[in-house]
Amino acid sequence: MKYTYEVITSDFGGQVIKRTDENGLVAWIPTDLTNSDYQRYLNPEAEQSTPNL
Amino acid sequence: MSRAQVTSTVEQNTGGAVAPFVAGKNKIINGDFGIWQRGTSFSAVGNQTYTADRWFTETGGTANITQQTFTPGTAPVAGYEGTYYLQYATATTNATHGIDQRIEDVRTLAGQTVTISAWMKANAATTMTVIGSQAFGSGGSAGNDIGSTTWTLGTSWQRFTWTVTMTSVAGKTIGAGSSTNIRFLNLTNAAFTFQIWGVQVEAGSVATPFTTASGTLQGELAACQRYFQSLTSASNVDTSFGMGINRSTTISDLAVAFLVSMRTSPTLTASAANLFYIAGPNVAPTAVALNGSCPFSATVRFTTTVTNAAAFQCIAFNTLLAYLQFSAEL
Repeated sequence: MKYTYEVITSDFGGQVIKRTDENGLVAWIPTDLTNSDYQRYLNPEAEQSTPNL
Repeated sequence: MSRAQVTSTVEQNTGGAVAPFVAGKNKIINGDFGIWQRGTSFSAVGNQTYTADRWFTETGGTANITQQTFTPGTAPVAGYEGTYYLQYATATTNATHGIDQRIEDVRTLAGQTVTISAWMKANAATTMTVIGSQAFGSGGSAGNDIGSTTWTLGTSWQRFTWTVTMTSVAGKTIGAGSSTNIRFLNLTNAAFTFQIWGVQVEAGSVATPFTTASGTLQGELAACQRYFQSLTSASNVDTSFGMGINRSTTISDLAVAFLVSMRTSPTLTASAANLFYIAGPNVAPTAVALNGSCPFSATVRFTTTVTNAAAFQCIAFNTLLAYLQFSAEL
């Protein structure tokens, strides 16, 4: 699945990431280093959870 | 030693004289496939797609995943009335197919003898390769497979077991989001359909009688909701998603308190904004987004056109399927 990302800054100064997949489904990702979606945004080449066969 | 520990020890030593329905021994959550917050039928889904709670696909192709219901009295364990099981049917061939579960924290069962068990069958005989692996999280050591075994499935329910020693984590660097992973993969690259129920991962060298991680339906739902929560409108009544405040003439912020604390600040996916309704100013929003989240709450922001800064109630009418889904999966 390929994604496009956009950084959104709230009026309180915080940020969230708007992620849109190739089917148009949108997900909103908090900038929390323990959120796995945010980890994949920061390092899309890494698969931190499941090693390959 | 508690009675639960005694019966568990007796069970381990005798191989099955008593039934230790001990909460906490099974490290798999939703091992009986009783919780399906995301839906009960998934067509042509690709890799890394969550279906039954805590279970996701691992495939190079696409698959059809469905919830199936046991005819009463036909669950594979006498005296344990399973309700649902998962069916996995390949939609494309020439690819690896299967399902995985990530058990939170690579320290779980590390260095211990572990027995993995599951009831499985298939529409025609095929094989299932079971792989244990460890992932050390963001910034952690490289992941590694701890071993594998292959089960030959028939067309009737059969319990399969595999005992393996999990690798120690001594000397490893453990980062955020680490996990112990159990993977059920068909590597034949052929078309197949298999069914699975009663997955258990426990310490020890014997597969003891199956029980869910929590031992209760309520506890299992709560365990799943640490990783995923779906707030979905009901089909026959107006549904309240909670209260919020109109912060300007274009912004309506909904405060969501989670049902249980989540593993981490969750990601939001939502239905179309116009399926919600901002009662008070009585307008339908034109957009929905996450303004912020933490493990116990989130602020969901609706774009609206309102004329005052009063409080509002966010609802969905009975004919509209509106949802807010929060994911803190590994």
